[in-house]
Amino acid sequence: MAKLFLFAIGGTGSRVVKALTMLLASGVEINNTEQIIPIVIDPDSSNGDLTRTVDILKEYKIIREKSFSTTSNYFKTKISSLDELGDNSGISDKFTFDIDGVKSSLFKEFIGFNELDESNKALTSLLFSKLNLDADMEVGFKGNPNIGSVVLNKFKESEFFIKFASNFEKEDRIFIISSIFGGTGAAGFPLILKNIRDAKDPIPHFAFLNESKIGAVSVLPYFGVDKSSGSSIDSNTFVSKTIAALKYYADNICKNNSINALYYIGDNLSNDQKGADGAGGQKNNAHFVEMAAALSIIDFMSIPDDELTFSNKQVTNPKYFEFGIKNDINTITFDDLAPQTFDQISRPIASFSLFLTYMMHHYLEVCQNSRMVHIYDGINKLDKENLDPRFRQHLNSFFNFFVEWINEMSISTISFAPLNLNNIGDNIFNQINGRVIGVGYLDRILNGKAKEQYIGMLNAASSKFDHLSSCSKLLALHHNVTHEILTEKIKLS
Amino acid sequence: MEQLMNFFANLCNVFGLYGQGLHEHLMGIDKDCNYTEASASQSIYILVFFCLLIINSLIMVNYYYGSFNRPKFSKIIYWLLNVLLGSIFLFAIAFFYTNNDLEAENFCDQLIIYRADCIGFGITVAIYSIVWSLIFSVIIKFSSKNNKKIPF
Repeated sequence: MAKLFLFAIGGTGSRVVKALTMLLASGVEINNTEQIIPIVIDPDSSNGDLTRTVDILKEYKIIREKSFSTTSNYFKTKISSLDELGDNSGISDKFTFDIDGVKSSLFKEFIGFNELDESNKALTSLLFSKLNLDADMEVGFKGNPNIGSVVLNKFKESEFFIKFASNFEKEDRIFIISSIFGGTGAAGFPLILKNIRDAKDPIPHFAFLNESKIGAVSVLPYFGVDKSSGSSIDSNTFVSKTIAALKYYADNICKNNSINALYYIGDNLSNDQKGADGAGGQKNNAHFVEMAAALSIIDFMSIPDDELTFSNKQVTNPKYFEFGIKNDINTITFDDLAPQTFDQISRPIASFSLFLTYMMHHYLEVCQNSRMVHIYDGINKLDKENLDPRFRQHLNSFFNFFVEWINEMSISTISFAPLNLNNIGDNIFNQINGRVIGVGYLDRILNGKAKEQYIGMLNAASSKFDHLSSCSKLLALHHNVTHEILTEKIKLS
Repeated sequence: MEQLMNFFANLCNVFGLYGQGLHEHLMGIDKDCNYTEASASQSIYILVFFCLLIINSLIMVNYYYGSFNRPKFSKIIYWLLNVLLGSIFLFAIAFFYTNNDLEAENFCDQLIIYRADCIGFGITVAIYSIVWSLIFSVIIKFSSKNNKKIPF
C-alpha cells in the first residue's frame, strides 16, 4: 500500500501534524494510504509546538501498535518514523529532521561570513541585516525566510533526504505543510519542492521523486504576535511577507506546474499568540485553521491517482483549493461546517469524545462492579488487571492531549467549539454543542439516563468483540457503540 | 396430576416444618374428610407450586430481560432483592391460603392443624421459591444484556 510522506515545516507544520494526528486517532478516514511518515523540519528542536507534537505522535504509535484491529477506526492509520522504513530499519520515534550546523550557531557562522573576502562580505551584508547575521538559529528563523532559505537548502545533502528518497516508491505521495508568513515554513516549502522535483543521480529513486504526486498546504496568516510578550517577531509584517511569498509561489511553483495540488488556508489576524522566540516558549494554542489545514491532507489523499498525473516534467492538471465554512461566525460548531467537512469529522470527533469521557471519568468506577458484562465477561476482559496498565496510561496521556487540543481551539479566535466536555455524567449525550438531547421518560425507566444507556450498550455489544485482544477490544467496542449512540440517540449524521 | 402432587408433597415434607394434618389438607382431603381422584387436581400443593413457578419466573424474566436489565441493577444485591420479593410473595400465598382455611374451619375436622403449621408451610414454599429462582436464573441469564454475570 502507498505511503504518504508528510513534510511539516516549522511551528505551524508541527501544529498541523498534531491536528492530523488527533483526527486520525478519532477515526477520520484517509484514503489511498495505510502509512504516514511525518517528517518535522524545524531547526528549533526544543520548540514547544514541536516537542508536544512529537510526544503526541509517540503516544499514537504505541496505542496503535497495541490496539489496531479492522473493526475500529480509532488509531487506524499507521504512523511511522522514517527510520522505521527500509531494510536496515528499527523501532524509532524520531520524527524530526535535524539540520546540520544549526545547533548553537549564529547565521553568520553558518554561512562562514568571517571567512569571506571583503567584496563578498559587502554583498552578504546587502542581503542580510546585522540582526539576520547575528541570529541564533537554534531557535529557528524567527520570521526571516531569507535566513531559512539558505539554511534549509542543505536539505538535499542530508543523510535524511537520501533515506527518504531510497524508501520512496512510485505509488507513494508527498505532502508539504508550511506557513507562508513565518521564517522556516515560508522558506522551506519551495526548497523542498524544488529538491524533490529536481532530484538527480546519485539520489536513490530520483525518477520516482521527479514525477511524484505532491500536495501542499500553505497556511496564510491566522494569528498575530502579542508584542507585549517581548517577542522580536513583528506580526505587522506577516501580510506583506505573505504577499511577497505568494508572488514567489505564483512565479516559481504555479507557473511551472510543479505541484499537483496546492491548498491555501488563512484567517483574520484576530488571534494573538504570546509569540516567544522559539524554544519551549513557542507553544501556541491550537487553532481551527490548523485543523482545516490537516483536512487538506485528507482531501489530497482522496484524489484518485489518475487525476495526479505528470508528463513532460510538469504536472498535467494542477489543482488549487481554498477552505470555507457554512456559517461565518465567531464560534463554530459542527453544524456551522460545510457539509463535506461535517461528514468527515463530526462523527469521529464526537465518537472519540464519548470514548475518552468514559475512560477518563467512568472506567475505574465501572471496574469496581465485578458483574459488569463488558468489563468482566468473555475471554479477553477489560478490567484494570487484564487491560495492559501501560496501554491505559498511554491512552490517558493521549486523551489529555486531545482534551487540551479541543479546549485550545475553543478559546482561540475564531473559536471552534464543537464539544462541551463538561457534560460527563448523566448528560453525556449533550456533549455536542448545538444539540440538546433529552432522554424520554419511558426510555429512562427502561434503560436509565444517558451514562447508564452508554454502559448498557457496551454490555450488549461486548461479546461481538471478544475475539480481539483486550486493548483492541476496548477500542473496537467503544468505536462501534459510540457510533451507534451518535446514530440512534444523538442523531448526528 | 396425582404424581405431580405427590412430587410436590414429598419436596415440601423434606423440611418437616408442618404437621401431618396440614399435609393431608394440602393433599386435597375435603371438609367431609373424603379423598377422591378429583381431589388431587384441587390440591393446594399444586396450586401453590404453580404460583411459585409462574411468579418467580416472571420476576426473574423481568430481572434479566425487563425493567431490571440495566447496568445500575447489575449487582448481586438487586438480584437478591428480586429473589426475596418472590419468596415473600410465595410465603404470603402459602400462609394466607392455609390460614384462611384454618380460620374458616374449612378442613376435615379429623385433622389437627395449627397456625404454626401454616407458617411452616409458608417458609417451606419460600425456600423452594428461592431455589427455583436460582435454578431459573442460571437457565435464562446467558442472553441477558446487562445481568448475565448474576448471580455468578
